[in-house]
Amino acid sequence: MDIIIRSARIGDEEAIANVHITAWQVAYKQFMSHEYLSSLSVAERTDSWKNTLRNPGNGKYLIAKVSGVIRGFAVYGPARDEDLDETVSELVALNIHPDSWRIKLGSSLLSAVIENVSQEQYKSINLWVINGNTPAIKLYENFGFKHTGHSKIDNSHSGNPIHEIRYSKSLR
Amino acid sequence: MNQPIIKTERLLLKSFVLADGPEVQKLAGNQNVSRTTLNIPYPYEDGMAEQWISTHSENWANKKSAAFAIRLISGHELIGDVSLIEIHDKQAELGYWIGEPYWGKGYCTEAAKALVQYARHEMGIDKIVAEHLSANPASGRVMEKIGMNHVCSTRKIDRYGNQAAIEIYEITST
Repeated sequence: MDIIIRSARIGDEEAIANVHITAWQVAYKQFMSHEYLSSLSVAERTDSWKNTLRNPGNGKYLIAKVSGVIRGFAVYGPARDEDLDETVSELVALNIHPDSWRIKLGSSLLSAVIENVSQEQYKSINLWVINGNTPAIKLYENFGFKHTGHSKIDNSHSGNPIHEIRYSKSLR
Repeated sequence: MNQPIIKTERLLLKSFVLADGPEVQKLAGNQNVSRTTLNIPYPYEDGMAEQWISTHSENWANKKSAAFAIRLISGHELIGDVSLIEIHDKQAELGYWIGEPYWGKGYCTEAAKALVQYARHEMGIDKIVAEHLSANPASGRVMEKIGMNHVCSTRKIDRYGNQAAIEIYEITST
């Protein structure tokens, strides 16, 4: 069972959308409403990913394939928070299909992201994680991320307010 | 765009970094390793490995070649190289070497098989050729184990300017 981690490209959009939605429906069920999660459409998300991959902007996109099938993706780029400068990068998303949670695919993808940003101008990498998302927080802490003390309420995803906390890891 | 990372049961294939230079020099500079190949220089002098590694990112970006450091997942130590060179028109040449301390464990077969799969399924390469010195049948066994077919025996000029007998293998997508 080989694992491949490579940059995402046009043609990956449907498989990424499928991972994206399945991962959210399982990982976020205690944080987002059932109505919202079950309303997510692979077709709509595929269109949005196609658009993203065509116009990536500052974002970078990695996918992870297990036995030839895309089972995870990561999005990273320059930090978006206004209090941070250009030396800070941000892991914007890291989603793994639930069928691949037990094979440490998240660790493999996170290692690749950290290696890639370390080769750029960045001195640290930040991320926002849902407060209480224990498996994700455990993964980030294993990689040396530390809670910065910042938190925010994000209303943009599901209608439900989501309490997120910021983590940071030094790259030097 | 960065090179991919390929993870097999025991191995991690990823791009070399300049800091690998001394280890490459030590492993590939071992005459027992270089004499099994046509191309590895001997003696392997200071700076040669770094010079070689410094060409990789541009060659990857231009789709000319793809060199992968082979590392053990356990311990992360560098054990060898597996590469695609002369990439053009959906064809490429496969090459590899493994450091002597790591011979006889099937690492080369595991790495080459994974890279050939990547080339076929992710890079759209449908014909891969490889050659080995006739005097080094172990390399031919790797080619056979990963499904390559023997095409012919021929001769080529080696690093010393001598005629060397070589065997040519290939694998094509069906």
